[in-house]
Amino acid sequence: MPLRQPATFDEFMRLQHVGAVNVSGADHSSWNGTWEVQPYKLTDDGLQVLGSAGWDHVIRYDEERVLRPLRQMFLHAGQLQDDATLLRYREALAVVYHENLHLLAGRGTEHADAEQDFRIAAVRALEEGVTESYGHETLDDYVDEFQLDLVAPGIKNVVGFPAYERFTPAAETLAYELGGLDNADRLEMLRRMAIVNATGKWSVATGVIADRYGLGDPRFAQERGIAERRITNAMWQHFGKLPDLSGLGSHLVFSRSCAIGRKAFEEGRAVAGQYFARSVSFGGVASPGRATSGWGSYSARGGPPYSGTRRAGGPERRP
Amino acid sequence: MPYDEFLERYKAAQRGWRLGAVDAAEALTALRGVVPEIEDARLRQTAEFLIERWAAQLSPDARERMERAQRIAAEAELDAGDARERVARLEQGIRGITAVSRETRDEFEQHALLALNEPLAQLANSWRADVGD
Repeated sequence: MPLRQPATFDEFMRLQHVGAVNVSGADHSSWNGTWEVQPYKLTDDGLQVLGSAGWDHVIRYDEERVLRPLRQMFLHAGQLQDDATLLRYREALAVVYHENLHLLAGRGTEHADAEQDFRIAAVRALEEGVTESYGHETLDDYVDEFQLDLVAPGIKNVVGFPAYERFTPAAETLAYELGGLDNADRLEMLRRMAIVNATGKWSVATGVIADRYGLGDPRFAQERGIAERRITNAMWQHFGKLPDLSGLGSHLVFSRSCAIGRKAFEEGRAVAGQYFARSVSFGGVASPGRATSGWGSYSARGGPPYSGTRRAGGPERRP
Repeated sequence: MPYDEFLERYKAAQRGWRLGAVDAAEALTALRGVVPEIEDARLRQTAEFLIERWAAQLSPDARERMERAQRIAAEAELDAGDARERVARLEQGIRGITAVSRETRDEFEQHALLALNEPLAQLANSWRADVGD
């Protein structure tokens, strides 16, 4: 059931995290309830950051690009706007949703627990890639949670572009490949990674591979931790290369990013396969062959599978 | 054609492009071809607006700015130096990307460029704790 439509900008800002939790099915948000205007100055020192989910669990937004459009949106609630204005509102809303997705965390963990790991290039790349891809594809669900199409009629008729061209194709490809091992589509795998912090995203990815390759077998109890570390490291080797794609033209960036996502998966699986081969010699576990899945419908309801409003869609083709 | 159908085609094409599987110019031509079929005149305008947004993002100048901003981001994230040096380099990167964003008057292109600053700011905030600022 959607949240009550916020009547004011302030009410929406108070509830901003609830929409992200509801859409994604996350355990909780680490947000501490405080949002501030981004301290970076627009002109004084040349820094401008649209939003940030601080390690202190405060969210900071840029006044000009995020807060002002949203204030305007509520000020003119219910009025028809031109397409550019609607897209401006939507882009501002996308920043709010993105930052709130960053703050989602699994039970017993918090966003800030991942601060040290965020210094690792591969961890940053997956964090941003998953958050942006999932946020872009489920933004309409966030709109629905707050019934914002009543505040800004037509806001779902316009659509922007996801950011992070270097990271999103790799994240989506990894999600697709992981889904193939776990009978889940790409969007569901993105969701599972989106609802945990930056460290947890790699735990999810590694866990899917490890489980599928029989590392849950009690005979691996002593080794599972080391095996998962090896799987993660193998994938990090590839995701760590994503920032270096910046020297390429867009088409090459996209295809190389996809290739890195796939290669990371294959390398992680190869490490797991070494253990699987041993488990077969023990007496066998289920084959880790691909369980068919798909990309997930682009516009499918982004919430968890139990969502009553999730729309079915045919699997999309692989890139 | 119902507008929703156009929007689904637009999103699918956009997504295919981002995965390196769709030629954007061909996709835009195909999308332009179906705009007259959209039943609602008001939404035909919206469809044209979205197509022009994508075309603007594909312009050589816009691509050059995005690629340059991404290079700045990569240099700013370089895994070297002590905490103080890293923070300085990251802030310099944010300044550089912000400067690139001001080379265009297209507010949506500016938004796409400025989005690159977020992970740099997050990383700077992490290292700043080590500096003690």
